[in-house]
Amino acid sequence: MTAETKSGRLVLHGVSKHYGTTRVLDGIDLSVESGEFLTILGPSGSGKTTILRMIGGFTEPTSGSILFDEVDVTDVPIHRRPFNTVFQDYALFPHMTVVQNVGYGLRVRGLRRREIETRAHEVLALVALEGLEQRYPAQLSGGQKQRVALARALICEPRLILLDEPLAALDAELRRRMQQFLKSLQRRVDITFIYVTHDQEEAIGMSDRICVINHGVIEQVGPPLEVYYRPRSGFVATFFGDNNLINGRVVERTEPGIWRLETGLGPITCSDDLLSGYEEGAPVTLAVRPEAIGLRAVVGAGTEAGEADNALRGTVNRVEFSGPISEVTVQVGEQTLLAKMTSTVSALPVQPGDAVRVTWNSGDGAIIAGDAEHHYRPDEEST
Amino acid sequence: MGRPVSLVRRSLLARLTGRRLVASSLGAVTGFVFLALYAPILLVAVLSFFRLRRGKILWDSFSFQWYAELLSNRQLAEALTSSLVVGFFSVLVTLVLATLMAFYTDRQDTRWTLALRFVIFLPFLLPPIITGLSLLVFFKEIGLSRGLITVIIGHSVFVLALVYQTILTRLQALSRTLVEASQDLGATRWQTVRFVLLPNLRMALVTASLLAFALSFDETMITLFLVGDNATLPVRLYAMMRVGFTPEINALVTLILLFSTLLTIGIARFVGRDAGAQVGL
Repeated sequence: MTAETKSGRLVLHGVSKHYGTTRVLDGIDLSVESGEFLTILGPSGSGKTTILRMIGGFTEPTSGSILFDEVDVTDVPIHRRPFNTVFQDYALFPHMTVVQNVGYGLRVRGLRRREIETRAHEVLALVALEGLEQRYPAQLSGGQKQRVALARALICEPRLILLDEPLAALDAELRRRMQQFLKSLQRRVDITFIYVTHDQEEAIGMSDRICVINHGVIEQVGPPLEVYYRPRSGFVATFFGDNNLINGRVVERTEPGIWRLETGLGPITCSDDLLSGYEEGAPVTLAVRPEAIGLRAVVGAGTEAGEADNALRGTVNRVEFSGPISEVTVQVGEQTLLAKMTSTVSALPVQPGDAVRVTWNSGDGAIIAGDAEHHYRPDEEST
Repeated sequence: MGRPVSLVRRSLLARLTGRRLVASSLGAVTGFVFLALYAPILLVAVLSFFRLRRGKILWDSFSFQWYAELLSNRQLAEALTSSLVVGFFSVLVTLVLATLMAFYTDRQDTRWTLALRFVIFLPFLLPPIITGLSLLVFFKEIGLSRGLITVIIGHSVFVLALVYQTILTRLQALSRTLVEASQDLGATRWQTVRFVLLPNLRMALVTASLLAFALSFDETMITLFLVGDNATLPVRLYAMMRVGFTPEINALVTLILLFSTLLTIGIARFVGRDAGAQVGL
């Protein structure tokens, strides 16, 4: 029962799914390493569940292939795939007790009743459900059902577990606890988890890598930190919380390690590691997180020494106090920038109408090729 | 000061008696309805134990005489047997066919399944006389002589729609992911049907069987066209109308009534328990 025998490498190669003229997925290339916790993240209708269903065998891809340990499993029927799924609605068999539900995978493989029960008890202990063996699903809470569904998948010793928004039906507190539980469980059993969700925080908190998908196309795949701080598209930059997108053009290298960008807000400096691979004159977009932006009151007319690398003059539009963080929108030229500042007890840091200097360091933010726009708005998600 | 009080009292009294009047007349109507519905049946039950002379019940003649005579009435006994045999096999045939068809057409709206559904429902909606006549012509053409087999086929065609719809409704109420989960856990199609679908269809299957049996048991019109020498009970009773009923009919009706009542109580308990187990599904 070493890691090598339990999990393997999953590769999706040019996988597409079309329904008539509707393209649900278009040319998905994705590889999932052995023992990895990969999250497929995207808004509703992005095609993320379709990817999961194709890996599980419930939906046939229109084109492309799915390889597992170098073996093509695209046409392998569901019941022969060494993968198990935890369904969004749990899909527990209502006429079976907890122990019968958990033992089902072994029962259909023809194991003896004794052995099934022994193994079921072991797995139930793993998910901390001892003592509920004889209950029916209708007698369980949401969190308990969730763990029965997990145990039922785990008992088959799959090499891959597919989870389709398994926490969506739980309340916030329980969801937080289940996130930690899932993460630690995955470490203990050392099985590859592919987890589908639309919840960014869930994805950042649990995953080894996140695959961001939108309109049936992969936008970016990477570790949570990278996806958050180094987004490669406007969608990714704005899907994970707020971001300021500043369109511009690469002008020249002013000093070693520092580049100058020409933007609608005036010249901006940007460090080398953000801009590697771009040529002079290339259109780019700088994405700066609101928490990376500092605001200082303007005292006098001159530029103060020792300021941050970038300092733009602006006027405060609006200040929104929301507990520990205050959101401040500042008008700079024709663009509004958002800054997030720690609230102080005595007073808000700035007032609407204040003239301020908007600052950030040249190493903060991310460079996106081309003129990126705010592709994602939270209210779009209901569609 | 005394007058207003007494006025209030009187109107209160009037209102109370008014309400009581409404309640009691409602009760009377209800009682009458029940009497009208059940009196004939009760009368039959009473008559199965007593003898009649010139339209009067002889109360001192209580006996099981008619029951004894019923047992020795070979014609009725044979008709009852025919009905039971026909009912049993019609239920068996329709259960198998309807279950397969329900599995086949569940969540499939192709031209084929729509056509199949139409074919299933047509005989149920057609006047029985048309169904009976068509079947008669058909059997004659293919050279199948009339007998219990033709009756069983006729009844199966007739009750199929009901059994099919009962099973399909339950099937559609089941979450699609149950089937997917079963396959995902390694079950073959057959194992999924056996371990997941059939147990969840149990109640629908029982309900459908009982309904189908009841329909088959008193089906007369189609049967008249298809029956051979072995008459079913309704056909035998229909034939007896011409020569007049003998008193053992009362015993027969009472027995059937007793049987149906017990069956109904049984179903009610079964359905109630099963529904309880499904709560929160």
